[in-house]
Amino acid sequence: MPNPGELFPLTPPHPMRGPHCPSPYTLEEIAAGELPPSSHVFDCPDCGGYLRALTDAREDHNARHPVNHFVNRLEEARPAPRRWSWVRALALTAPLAAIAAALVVTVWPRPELAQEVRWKGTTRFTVLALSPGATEPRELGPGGVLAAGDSLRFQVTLPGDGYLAILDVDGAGKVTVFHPYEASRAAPVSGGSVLLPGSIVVDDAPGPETLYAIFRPEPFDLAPLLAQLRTDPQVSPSCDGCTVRSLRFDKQR
Amino acid sequence: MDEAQLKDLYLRYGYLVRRRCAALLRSTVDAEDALQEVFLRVRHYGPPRGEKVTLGWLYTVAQNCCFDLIRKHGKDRGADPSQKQALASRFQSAGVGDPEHAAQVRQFLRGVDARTREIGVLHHLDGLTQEEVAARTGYSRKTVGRKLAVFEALARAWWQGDPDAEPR
Repeated sequence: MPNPGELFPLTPPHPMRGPHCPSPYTLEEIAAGELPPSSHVFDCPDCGGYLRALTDAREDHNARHPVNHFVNRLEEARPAPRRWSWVRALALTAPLAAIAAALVVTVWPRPELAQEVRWKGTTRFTVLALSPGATEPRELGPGGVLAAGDSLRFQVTLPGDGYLAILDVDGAGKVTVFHPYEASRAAPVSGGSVLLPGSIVVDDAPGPETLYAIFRPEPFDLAPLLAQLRTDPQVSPSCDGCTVRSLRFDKQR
Repeated sequence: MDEAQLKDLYLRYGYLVRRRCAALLRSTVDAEDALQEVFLRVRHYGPPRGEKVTLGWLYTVAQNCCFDLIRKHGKDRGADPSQKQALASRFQSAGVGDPEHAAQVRQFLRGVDARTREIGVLHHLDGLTQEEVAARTGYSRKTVGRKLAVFEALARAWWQGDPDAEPR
């Protein structure tokens, strides 16, 4: 096996790690001010040296790449996204909700399905899409078609407060946490009809896109669900006490 | 997210994120593009609701940006199979910044499945032990060991200039 430094060259390189040393990742968290340095870091020349090297390198980087210059380039690269009128979006879906309440959204069964708790009342997952140039969003039903550049927003109807995550699997099997974006745990959500904040812009990855909305009254981690989807992207993920709704869309070429 | 918050994030995390992108992409120019994309996504999507921005979250966003870039570049330019052995022979002596070297590593990363790549990156880029990788990802320790063996075997084959070693 080649030296790991040859595969992922880092400057400064990782320190030698003894049996009591934290991982280089933990030292980077300390350098970022997220964790306090332990007494070991002060006593260990390798860990302490790595921490000092990171801190010095960051100071040098910030001097050579000034923050104002970087932020100005961000503004030039991409303008702020157009704001949705959430009132307009809710008005669009309100009459549809009455009809959709009678519809059944297919949940793909998993062979070793964990015990699923059904909340009383309607649990619904809706995807709204706004194409570039369009003035009104459209509701995407199962089998709807997406195109790169479409902006998506998600609406859920829940019978009570709890925790929610929305996961996406594209045609290449890549799994992404859409809500809360790239998080490791589900986000709190209120009961009732909720238009989730933020929007997702569809990329040009191959389709189809499958979206899973996962609700649970209690908090839950996303790592096991991501692992399930990466093992078999075609099977709906499951977890104890979770309710899952899925929607599958084709991708326009 | 307002400009003041964005500036604060850049000053605190920008160097670490750029460093990670440079290690994955093996190109300072592409790392600059990836860093910009990371902060564009941070500005647009913000951190998970009710949570603050963390290094772990930024690394996840950065990794996705880098692999999106690797995938995109794969559509534009792939290594000519007839030149693969010649490129592989330069692999061991080339340093960071060599564009052909970077293309080889990217082709390797592009071909490895997402789960194997995630485990390989956590172990070799973040320096996590196999137990720490298992705790972070939720995979079993056995799965981590198995996937890491696959990752290292493929990397070894590429390092040795095996033109027939196709990442799966």
